[in-house]
Formats: sequence, C-alpha cells, structure tokens
Amino acid sequence: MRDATGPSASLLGEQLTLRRYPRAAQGDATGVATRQSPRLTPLSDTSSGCVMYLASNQTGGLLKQRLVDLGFIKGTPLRLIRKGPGGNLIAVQVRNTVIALRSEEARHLLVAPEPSSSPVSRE
Amino acid sequence: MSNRQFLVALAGNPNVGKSTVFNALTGLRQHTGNWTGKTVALLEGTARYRDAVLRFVDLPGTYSLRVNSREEEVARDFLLAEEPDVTVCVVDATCLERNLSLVLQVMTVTPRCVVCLNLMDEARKHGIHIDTGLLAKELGIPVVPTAARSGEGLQNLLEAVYEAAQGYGGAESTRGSWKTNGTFSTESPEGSPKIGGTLSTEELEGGEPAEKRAGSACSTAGEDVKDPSFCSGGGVRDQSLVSSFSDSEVEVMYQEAERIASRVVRRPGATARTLTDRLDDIVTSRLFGIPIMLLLLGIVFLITVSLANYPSAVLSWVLFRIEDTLSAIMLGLGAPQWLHGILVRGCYRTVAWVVAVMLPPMAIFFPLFTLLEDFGYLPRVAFNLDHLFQKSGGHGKQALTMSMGFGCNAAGVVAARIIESPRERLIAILTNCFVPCNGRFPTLILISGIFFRGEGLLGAAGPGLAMLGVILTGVGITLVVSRILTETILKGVPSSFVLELPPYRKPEIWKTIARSWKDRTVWVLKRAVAVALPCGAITWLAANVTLAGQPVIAHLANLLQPFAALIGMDGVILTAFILGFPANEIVIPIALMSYLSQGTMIDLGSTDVIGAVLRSNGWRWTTGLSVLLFSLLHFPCGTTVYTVYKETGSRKWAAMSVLIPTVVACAVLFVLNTVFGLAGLK
Repeated sequence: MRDATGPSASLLGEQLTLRRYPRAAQGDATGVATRQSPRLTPLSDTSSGCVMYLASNQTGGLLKQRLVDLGFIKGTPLRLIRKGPGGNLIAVQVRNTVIALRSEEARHLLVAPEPSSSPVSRE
Repeated sequence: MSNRQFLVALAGNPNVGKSTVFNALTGLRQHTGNWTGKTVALLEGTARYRDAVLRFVDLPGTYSLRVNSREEEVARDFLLAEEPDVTVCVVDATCLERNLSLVLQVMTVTPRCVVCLNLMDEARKHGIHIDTGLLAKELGIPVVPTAARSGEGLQNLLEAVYEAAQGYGGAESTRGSWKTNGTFSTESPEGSPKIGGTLSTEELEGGEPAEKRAGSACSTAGEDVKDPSFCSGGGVRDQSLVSSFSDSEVEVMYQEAERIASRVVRRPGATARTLTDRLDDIVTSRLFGIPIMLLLLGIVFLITVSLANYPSAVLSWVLFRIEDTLSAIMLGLGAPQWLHGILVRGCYRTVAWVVAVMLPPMAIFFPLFTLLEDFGYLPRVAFNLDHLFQKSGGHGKQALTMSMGFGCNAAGVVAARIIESPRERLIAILTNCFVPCNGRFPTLILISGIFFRGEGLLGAAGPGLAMLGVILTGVGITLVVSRILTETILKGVPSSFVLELPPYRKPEIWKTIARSWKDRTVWVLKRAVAVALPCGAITWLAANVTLAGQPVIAHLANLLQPFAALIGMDGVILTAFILGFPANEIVIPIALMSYLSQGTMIDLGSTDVIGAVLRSNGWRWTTGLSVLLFSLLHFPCGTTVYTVYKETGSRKWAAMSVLIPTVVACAVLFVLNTVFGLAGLK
C-alpha cells in the first residue's frame, strides 16, 4: 500500500515541454469558442444512435487528460448510446468501448456530423 | 544455470482479464504485502517455465501511464523503479485501439515487452478478426493471442516471456524507446545529447515501414541503427528523467494505435446489438435500473441470512465439543483456574465465536458479491446512482467504494483511490463506514434474526427486509452526510465523472468462489481471529477481575448506562461496542460474555439461545433496532481508522472518520428513542 505522498501529477507535469508541438499547443490554447461554427453540437445534445465526430474538446484539467487517455481525440467517431436513469449521465461509444459521462461535462465536447480535415494538422 | 529468476510485470487496461491471465499463470503461488481485495496493492506470483522462475507482478489496471490516479502512479513507478525484465501488456482483442495506446506508452518506458492479446474467444464470437502476425510486425514486439479463461495460448505466452527475458525472441521494443517528443529522454545519464531520438509527428503521419521507423526511433546521435537490441535499456528508465506524457503525446500515440488497428483488425460490417446492449437497456433504464439493483442486493442478503444459520449451528457444535475437550485436558493437567479461564473461556471461546458466527455469512456473501462484480454489474450501479451522489456533492464511483465497503470498510477506504478528485475521495473515505462491513454483518444478521423474524412466509422474510432497511438507511445517511460535508468542511465544485461500462462477462463461477474465499473470506477471518485472541483474554479478565465486589466490565457498563439509555441501548452493549473497537466482529460476543459471566455459562448456540439471553437482559425490539442502527452508524473499526490515516496522511481526517459517525449515530438514536418514548413504545 503506497502512502498518499508520492510524486504528484502537477510536479511531474511541470517538467513537460511541448516544444515539438507549437501548432498543437496553440490550437488548444486559443480554444474553439472564438471560431465555433454552427455545425458543432455539444455531445450531450446529440440524439442517441447516430455517429458524430469529436471536433473540439473544451474540457480541462484532469477530465481532459482522462478523456484523452480513453481516446477522445479530435476526429474520433462518438456515438451516444443512452442516457442514465437519473438523466444526468450519458453512455458514449468510443473506440469500441462504452464510457459514461455527465451531461454537463459532455456539453464541452463539441461534435460535428463529419470528421474535420486532418486530426493531426489541426487547422 | 538453473532457476534463473526473471521479474515480469503485467500491465493493461482495466477489464481486460489481466487478473485472469495472472491467476492462470501463477495459480495459487501468489502473495501480497498487504491488501488483497482488489489489485491496487501489488500481487506477486511465480510460474516455473523450463529452467527459469518467472516472478509475475500484477500491476493495477490503467488506461495510461500518466499520473491521473494512484493506480497509474503505482503502475508507472513500478515499471520505472523495478525495471522488470519483461513487461507483458495484456490487451483486449475486442477493443484493440484503446489498448494499443497503453502498449505504446509502456513500450516507451520499458525495454522488453510482450503483448498478450487476450479475450480472443470473445473477439471470435463477435466476428472480429485480428492479424496477429501483422500486429507483431507493426509493433515490433511479440504478440501472443490468448483466451485466459480457457487457458488458450498461455503456454505460448510463457514461452514468449521466457524468450524475451533472455533477450531474444524480438521482444526488445524496437521502437524501443518509442518516443514522442523529448519527454522521456532529453538527456542520458552519461550526458550525451539524446538517447532515443524522437519520433516526430511527421514521421508518424508518413506511414513509413515499421522497420524504418524503428530504426529512426532508435537512432543514437543521429545514426540509424537497425539492430533493435541497441534500443533496450538506456537512460529512459532513470526515474529522475521521467515526467508524464502530455495530452498531445497521447494523441499521437492514439493516432498510431488507430493506424495499426485499422490495418490489423477486421470487424463485421453490420454490428448486431450485443447482449450487453440489450441487458443495459433494462439494467440501466430509468424504470427498472434502481428496482433491479435493490432486488439483486435483497436476494444476496436473503440468501446470506437464510443459509448462514445451518453451517453456523454445525460449526458452533463442533467448536464447543473441542472447547470441552480442551477444558478437560487443561484441568486434567492441573492448570490453575485463571489460566484455564483466560485461555479457554477467554481466547478460545471468543475465537470459536468469531469463526462460527462470521465464517458462514462471509463464505456465502463474498462469493455472491464477487460474482456480481465479475459479471460487470458494479459499474452499472455507479451509472444508475451517480445522480444521487452528484446531488450530494459526491461521485458515482462512491457507489463502488461503498460496495467494497460491504466487504470491509478498510478495503472500501482504499478503493476510494479510484476517485481522482481529492474532495470526492475524502467524502467517500469519511462516509464509507456507513455501509455495514462484513464484520458488522453477523451482528446485523443476528439481531434482525432475533428481533424481526415473524410468523409465516412473510415473517420469515422479516430479517432480510430488516437488513435491506438497514442498508438503505446506511446509503441514505451516506448521501446526507456527504451533502453536509460538501456544504461545510469539504466545500468545492463536484468533479467530473468518467466511467467505463465494460461488456458483461459470464463469471467463472468456481474460480470466483475459490478466489473470493481466498482473497476475502480467509483474509478477513484471519484478521478477525488475530484480533479476537487478545480481546478474548482482555474481555475475560474484565469480566472476571473484580473491583469492589463487581467485575470491571460491570463498572464500565454502569458508568455508561445513563448515556446508553438515552440512545435506546444499555451500558453493556455500549461497553461492548467500545471494547470492540479493534474489530466489530466481537461486539456481540463481548456483550454476551458480560451478560453471561454474571450468570451461568451456556454454550454458543443458535440464534434462539442468543435471543433468549438478550431478552432476559431486558432487550426489546426497540433495543434491537437501536443496536442495529448503532452498529450501522457508529465509529469504524481500528483497522479502518488506521487505513484512513494511511490513505489521507492526516491525523485530522483519521479523527474525523471516528468523530463524524459517532456524532451521527448518537444523534440519530437520540432522536429515534425520544420519539419512541413520546409514542409510548418504550
């Protein structure tokens, strides 16, 4: 059993550099909010069953990290499967797995009906 | 050279059958330093293969090696600090893409990897075809298809691990120290500029042949090196150089995983709705979700309560015979009465009690619960209940830590590590003792059996319903207290909720039962016996050493009596709760002992006999109810408090974990008994 006092995520995170990704870093920093096109819908508002593509992940912090770890990358096909019994959760199919998210968090995942150009070159 | 030892780490996503692989490889040759409930502490097991001893370490299931959670920290630190000879990445063949991103991360931090492509049976069932040869070529490391449940492919896996451990078989991750951009190896220990070179986005996009890329990934000082063995080891594993992967690095890995998966995986075009989809339609539906959950819990408790009596009766009969024999031997050898009293009447009898009362319910409850867990039902509970926890400022995963708390609150406190946000995690930790652990189950079962069993079929269900009521009360109190904590000492914005809902899987019934016995039943029983031994002696002394003509325990009981009466109990049972702080299991034995040491000793008997003792000491159904609630709500056991201290690293929170439940228990019982008093029920 480990003690609670390990190297913290933030400490390690500080050593990170993004040198090789100036474009990527910029793309995330400027945010999509300024150039939101009307075609983008919050994932939580999509109707269940139809496949949408992640256009912009506007969550932040741990949630964003976790979502990236689970494969919520720009251009990833997502499908809303169902809403939970409390109405606050949605189950989303991503990369052949099912992930449950809270609706108010899924609101910050903007999706489009077709994949945006290239997921790597962000513009 | 014989009996060479190799350290082999098992890494993988959650729910990929990693533990099944681990168990199948190592059988019963396993041990762990501390907690065995779930794979958070590291379980180690050995397998002999040819002339080598393979020491397998089961790492926690993680989605990445970034330090988002304790599990990830444990897994990553192990890979970096222990430098296993081989790391086996167990991946789920039905969702390769997601799993591959972890494989790529593992390949970055460890030199020799083998991919165990597990759940091949499930993949075949869904018509998913995977070109394992191509996958191995793409990754540059061996890939062994397995179906661990049926044992398929495990020999090949051992062979691959054996070969990898000796440095052949191509397990050196040729992309070796697969690097994205300078996170891991900006400098080498020797001070040379770059060890692994980098694998840039451009190179990834380019779709060059794997060999070429492997070469460039391994280039040392700008020189293309084709020999993969050059890439093993190196400064990458120097912990001081290592930081976490960034979002963009993981994204790059995902793009690579996507590319590989698109080449090696063929899925059937039209996907029929799976069994999991159809089951989830019902199990997580607005209409049936919560009723089904209550029904399942109710059935589990009903089975436990109604079946546990018979083996309990047999056990206590056998153990009492042994006590007679022990007494006869000791007294025959001329042992003094006090020694006989401490050892036989104190230690042995308490242990016998704990075993007879605890073992059968645990032996029934744990396997049933583990079956639900292995089936994949527990995440659905979190899914169904998150809205309740969200309203109370907690996290849906708290439902899972609570579920674990049914087994053992200390285990539940540790399980709270799955909650990433510190605030919600503390809430889960501090409220965990409001779900009754198995140490309290015998008490709850016994008391409901005595005071809430009625006549006829409906009456026979009384104890089960009482238990269900107690548990629901615990859940309700948990929510209320969570809410209060959120409003007071743990203010903050509720954090996010992200939870995978894995496909349902048929549990391996016999293995599950065997495992739950070994991991939970026997472990908890051992601890209980270890605590019961000294407590038995102390309690016997308290009951038999007299001060001013009265046993010590009676003094204590008298002292507490006025307060105990306010909350519907008596001094004896309150004393027992306090003396039972080391382990809740022995509360009732201590109470009975104090009651009985005033009269004649009767044998450890059935529920009816215990009921008679309690009733003859003035217990009524209101007393029973008060004791049920006090047992549910009072301070957690010593082990749990110590675990809270370890987990939070703070004496303050450890103290709060005692204070909060104690205040809640006293307040609830005081109100309840005041109402009873006004209603004339007392």
